[in-house]
Amino acid sequence: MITLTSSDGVQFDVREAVAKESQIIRDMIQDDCVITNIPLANVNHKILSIVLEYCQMHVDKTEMEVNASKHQTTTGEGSSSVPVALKVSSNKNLNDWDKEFINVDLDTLYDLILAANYLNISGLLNLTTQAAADIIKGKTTEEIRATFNIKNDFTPEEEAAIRKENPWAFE
Amino acid sequence: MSSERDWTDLPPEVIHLISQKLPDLRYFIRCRAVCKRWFSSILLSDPPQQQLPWLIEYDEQYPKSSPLRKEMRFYSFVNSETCSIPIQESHRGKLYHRPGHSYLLVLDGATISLFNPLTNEEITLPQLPSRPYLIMPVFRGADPSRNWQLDITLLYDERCWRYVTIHPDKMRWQFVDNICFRTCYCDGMLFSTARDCTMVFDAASGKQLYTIPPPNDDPFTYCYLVESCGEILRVYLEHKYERSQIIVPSFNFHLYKLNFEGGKEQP
Repeated sequence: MITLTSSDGVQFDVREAVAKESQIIRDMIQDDCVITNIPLANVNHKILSIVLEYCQMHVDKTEMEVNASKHQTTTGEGSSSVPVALKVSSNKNLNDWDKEFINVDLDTLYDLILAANYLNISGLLNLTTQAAADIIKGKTTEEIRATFNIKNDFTPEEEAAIRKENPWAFE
Repeated sequence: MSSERDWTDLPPEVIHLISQKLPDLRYFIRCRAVCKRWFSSILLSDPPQQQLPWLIEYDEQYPKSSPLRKEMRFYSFVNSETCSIPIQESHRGKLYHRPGHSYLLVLDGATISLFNPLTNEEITLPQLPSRPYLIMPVFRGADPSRNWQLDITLLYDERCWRYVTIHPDKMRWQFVDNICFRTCYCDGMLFSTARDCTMVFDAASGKQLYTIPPPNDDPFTYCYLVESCGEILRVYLEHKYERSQIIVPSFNFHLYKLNFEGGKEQP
């Protein structure tokens, strides 16, 4: 077990495999094998608990698949189609789970993106940035700004010049 | 729905990652115009790699190579919209061919170049041995600006298809025998259609690997192949571009159904 401490001082005890979904934690553990408590200065307890839920789910699913394939090799020939089917359905379930998991409000999505980037959890970073891209789809520049609370810091001339590069995209 | 957080503050690498996941170039370009930080994190020379292909629509009003044709129309499957991109004056009257990555192949007599309409960058390729009647480009590699190989099938007359290939390091055309026309590339393999079947070749050796039968309801009209997001799509054309119908292809893996929303699209 490893203890992760959030920026606001809440401790989470998790299995090493779950913590290791994060590349930076993986590197820390490799550098020093007696490490048991890792403070995470940039992630509060609310976001950390969501991140750990994601890691837990993905580790569980992977372990389930490994066990299934082990089971297959011990039972021997003739049943090769079973684990494949299991794997396909488990991938499908995991995709569905991810889809449900990422159905969060924009502020949480923002915090999750930053946490996934900081902790370097590639699966979660892909999932969250894809969700952001899906939100952008169909929006005008003004709508993107309004949605993401972004202030337009271009001068009118600068903005006009950018639009002139590829005017068709703004029609 | 809007955010309390200021998304301007995202790290540049995250903004870049989001831009790479946008499904259509239109949104990619709009995102650049949001604010200075997003503008500097999203480069025109680095558009998203995984895009559904755009269809080039030819304007009925002017012939393909008319110098009067001032714009090109594209159809995007993502938002079922068409958009018009103006053609630079110097490029008017040239023939544009199927886009590969963010490049269009421009044919002017026997001179071929790769043109990026987003950045106006143009790479001129060596002259072809003679002026072809019809060409069909096949792009290999992830991105033509970095690591690419271009193959072209040429039609010199009605019976004589030739397949040529060029690599940027060598910059010279090389003829390849035994591969036929209407070819596209994906993941080390070349896919080629001949009438109803799709033939698969190993791209390095040119050896034929296997043949894929057509779908059961093969309309047996003009069809060609398109590589998109790591999948091969078999595109059927019925009489006109406006009525083209895409059928998720004949290949034997369910992989094909991934990423292709609905499987059928009606422009």
